[in-house]
Amino acid sequence: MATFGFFAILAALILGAAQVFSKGLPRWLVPIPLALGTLALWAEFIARTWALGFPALTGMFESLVFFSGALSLLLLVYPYQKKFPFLPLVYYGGLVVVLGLLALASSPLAPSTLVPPIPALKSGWLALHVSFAFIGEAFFAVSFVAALVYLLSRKEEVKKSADRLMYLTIALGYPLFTLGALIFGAVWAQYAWGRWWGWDPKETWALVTWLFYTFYLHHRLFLKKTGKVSAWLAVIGFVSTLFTFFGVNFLLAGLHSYGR
Amino acid sequence: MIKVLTSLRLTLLSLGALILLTIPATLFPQGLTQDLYLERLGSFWGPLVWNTGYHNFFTSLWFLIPLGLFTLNLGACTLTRLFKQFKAKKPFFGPDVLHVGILLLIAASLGSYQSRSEVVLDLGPGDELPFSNNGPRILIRDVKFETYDGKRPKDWITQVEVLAPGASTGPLQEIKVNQPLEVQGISLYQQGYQQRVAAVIVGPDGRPTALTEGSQRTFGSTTIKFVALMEKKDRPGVQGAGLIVNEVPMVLEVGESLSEVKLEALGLQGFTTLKAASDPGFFWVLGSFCLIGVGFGMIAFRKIKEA
Repeated sequence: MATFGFFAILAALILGAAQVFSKGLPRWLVPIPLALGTLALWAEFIARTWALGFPALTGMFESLVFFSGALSLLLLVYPYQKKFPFLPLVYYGGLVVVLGLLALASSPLAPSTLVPPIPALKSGWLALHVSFAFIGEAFFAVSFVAALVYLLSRKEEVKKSADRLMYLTIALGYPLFTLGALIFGAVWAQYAWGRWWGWDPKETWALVTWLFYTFYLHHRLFLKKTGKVSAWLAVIGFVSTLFTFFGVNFLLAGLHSYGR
Repeated sequence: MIKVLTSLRLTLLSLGALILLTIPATLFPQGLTQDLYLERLGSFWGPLVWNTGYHNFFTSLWFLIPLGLFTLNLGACTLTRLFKQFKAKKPFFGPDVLHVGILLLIAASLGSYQSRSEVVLDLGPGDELPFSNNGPRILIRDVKFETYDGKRPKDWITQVEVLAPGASTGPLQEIKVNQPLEVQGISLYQQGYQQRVAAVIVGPDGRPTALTEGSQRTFGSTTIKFVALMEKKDRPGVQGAGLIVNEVPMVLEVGESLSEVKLEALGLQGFTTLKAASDPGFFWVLGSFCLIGVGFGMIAFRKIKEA
């Protein structure tokens, strides 16, 4: 199902690109493969959860499927909402990010074998921790693409919209990430290992990422600074998010090596 | 002075310092010995990490100074904003609740770090947790290791009997990973499981006790020391437990009784690793999480209302 999701989302991206060059292609066509791809990813998550008897969030493959599913759901809704500025480049850029995540999910780094959770991972707090963190990070991914659009675009109107989108998505993702990555994670750690926080590399990098977005929000919101610096902060923030997720798992040792 | 303490530039400076100084500390393990740093990081980085104190970064000034600046700044900003909100026509305390939550979290974390205590214990069936004389007694009754497929661990379960002071029996309770047991302010966490060669002796009270090689226990008037697995002289090929019973060496088979005791099992037995922890800061940390959650909720509600 994840493989179908990948190709469906790839089809959405190709259709979107085709639409730019062929005005005759109806606009309503593009969301269909994206909707199918999103459904496939969530179906994969639900199927694995059913088979395991536990939320399918304990391995790298499952985490990537959930992350891509959350991001593709955001992108599916994005063109139809009125609060956030709609930028086609962000929409299609977001699809590229989803495809990148799914490509990683299909690599040897993320074995897809269904493996039941070991004792430390059998906790409802873990499910809350991982799900909220990834939903928050899905918003960060959109802000990342918006930041790239800002940095690469020359049109002032596009830059203004991209900047606003950057801020709004980070403002939405930040509390979800705080709750998921830090608070629910700490509660899970307390029940599993008898301590709230152990300065494990994963925990520390989650804190670094949180500090980074805190920096962005205060820089952007209270100093009212927009512009290149803000955009670069959003880019580096997402890079930090990715490093927290992938880099720590493969490069730095610690208790959190479950995601390998 | 207040202007400096409440300055947003100080906020960004302290956040930036925390980020930049913390990142290098994640690139190598913390809390090792000097020799290990020299061995793992080489003759340049090893001494540098050690001499700068980066090997214990989170208790060093590298971390505590920017954290202190951040805390002072956050405290000053929160107080200033609170005073303004109390005077405002339509006060909104969402950000204040959030910031108070973060301040409480920092204080509670430091308090928890200072005041918590923990000990890790390796125990087997029949062992008793070494708590105070006035409190309940906790006896290990059984240690189970469940697997999904004979290999991948499913659960480590320690079954304990909790006896009230003066009681001879008590209810059986289980300690599992993610399901600690709390007894009079002490939390018992399931940390690990091992298998060791042991002789399981059932005493006059009917409770099994696992004796590892070289260990000794008294059951009523009988003192038993488990020496090693041995063959009985009169039944070669049959494995028994080589014991010293009241200073008399003998070999018992599984199922054999001797006055008030019986050898119930022999061979690899499950032993448990439990962590006993006491943290007076627990509820303060939990309270800070609640405040942070409420603060976010208030801000979100306000934003939705405005939209």
